Amino acid sequence: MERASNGRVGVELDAHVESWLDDAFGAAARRVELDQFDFGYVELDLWFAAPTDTTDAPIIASIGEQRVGLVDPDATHALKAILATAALRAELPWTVGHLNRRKTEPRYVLDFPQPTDRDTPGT
Amino acid sequence: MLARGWVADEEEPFRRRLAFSRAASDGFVATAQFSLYETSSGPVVDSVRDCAKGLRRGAATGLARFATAGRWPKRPSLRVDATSGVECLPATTVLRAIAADPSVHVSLRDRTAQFAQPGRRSGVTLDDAKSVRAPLAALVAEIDEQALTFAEQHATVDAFLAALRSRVSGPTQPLADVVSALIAFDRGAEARDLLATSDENPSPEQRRFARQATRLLNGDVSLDQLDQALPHKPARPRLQLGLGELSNARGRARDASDAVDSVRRSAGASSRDELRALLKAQLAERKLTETPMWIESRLDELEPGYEKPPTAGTVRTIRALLGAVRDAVSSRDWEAVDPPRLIRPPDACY
Repeated sequence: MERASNGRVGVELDAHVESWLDDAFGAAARRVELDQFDFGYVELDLWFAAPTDTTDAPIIASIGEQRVGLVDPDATHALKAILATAALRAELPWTVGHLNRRKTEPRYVLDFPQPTDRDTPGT
Repeated sequence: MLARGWVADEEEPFRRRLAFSRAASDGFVATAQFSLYETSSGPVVDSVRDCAKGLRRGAATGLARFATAGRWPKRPSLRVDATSGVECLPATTVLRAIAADPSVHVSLRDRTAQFAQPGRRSGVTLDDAKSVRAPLAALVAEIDEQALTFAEQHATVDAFLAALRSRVSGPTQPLADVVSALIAFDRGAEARDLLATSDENPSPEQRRFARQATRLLNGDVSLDQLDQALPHKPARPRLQLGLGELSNARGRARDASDAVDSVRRSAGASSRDELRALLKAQLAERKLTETPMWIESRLDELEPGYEKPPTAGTVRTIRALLGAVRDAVSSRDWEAVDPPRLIRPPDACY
């Protein structure tokens, strides 16, 4: 049994998305910043879509209209089930993600709550 | 024509349903019903207690409450609170109520009569099973006098819709109820018109309902399909506070530290990506998961020349953190914030 202590899933951010994340970070109103450490995070809506060409491909994470990266493959299975049921409504699932800004590289770390069985209809 | 009588509840053997129905125009049936426990056959003591609870609950909250106006046979109901605004079920439930079967049942629930008379709020006290019948008689009179009258006033489609529309002006009244009823009554054109002229600044849920209702009206989706999938929003992790959890947390922290030490010993000239993969593997070996931020922070510690942040300013740090959180919470209504277009998800996201 996994001893998950924190239950958050990471997003592997795309290359060259950092400048756009600067804008997104600034646009998010829900913000906690610690200037003393040049560190902070914002909460923003993160939504998911599955590539249509392959079934095993990682799930795409986006903010606004901007694709920002790929979801950690460990969470793909749970999210695929959620995406499949949402597709019946022609909808895309979303959640509140944390965009963390750091002093050192990588400058941004994006994560979101680990989906559980309770998140998947019919389970 | 009035019909009344006890109906046994198959799921609850001690429960009896007292139901009234009266034929009305347009093929509708006005009904009023009340559920009580009937114990004249001498149930066991526990059941008598249950009976008393049921009656107290019923007397306090249920008098003249179950006035219904709708088609027959009964279907999952759309309930409407006639005094404090429409009490709508989630759009998904409402849409389900519309159902493939056009003989949908829609009920109107009246609370005006509930507390209309002084003393009605007090519960009924029962000493034994024999005293059930007296309060029942009072309930029957109450239903006859008020609930059926109320039901009859709303026993037509037009009357029902008028009652629904009268609630639309309220700030919390969702459009969904009226649109759902119109669809249920095969008035799709009116539903479309209402959707087209609805609030210019709808909430996300209102947008969502309008979108799904439109798909339904267009025949793009069936109610069965809509019912199969509920909207997804991952739940936030729950805070675990038990003593056992605290003990487990200590063990996890120790094992996580061991994982970092293991990576440190084998770090060598590895790149950050390689170290990240190694740390994840070490954590997985210990059946641990940590947040991406935790992992990056540990990798920072493994970087050559890493300097631990000074601890002298701990108090200042805590103050700064508390201040940042306080500012974030107090200066903005987190729920009401409408994110800028740049970071707003597409309308299809729910």
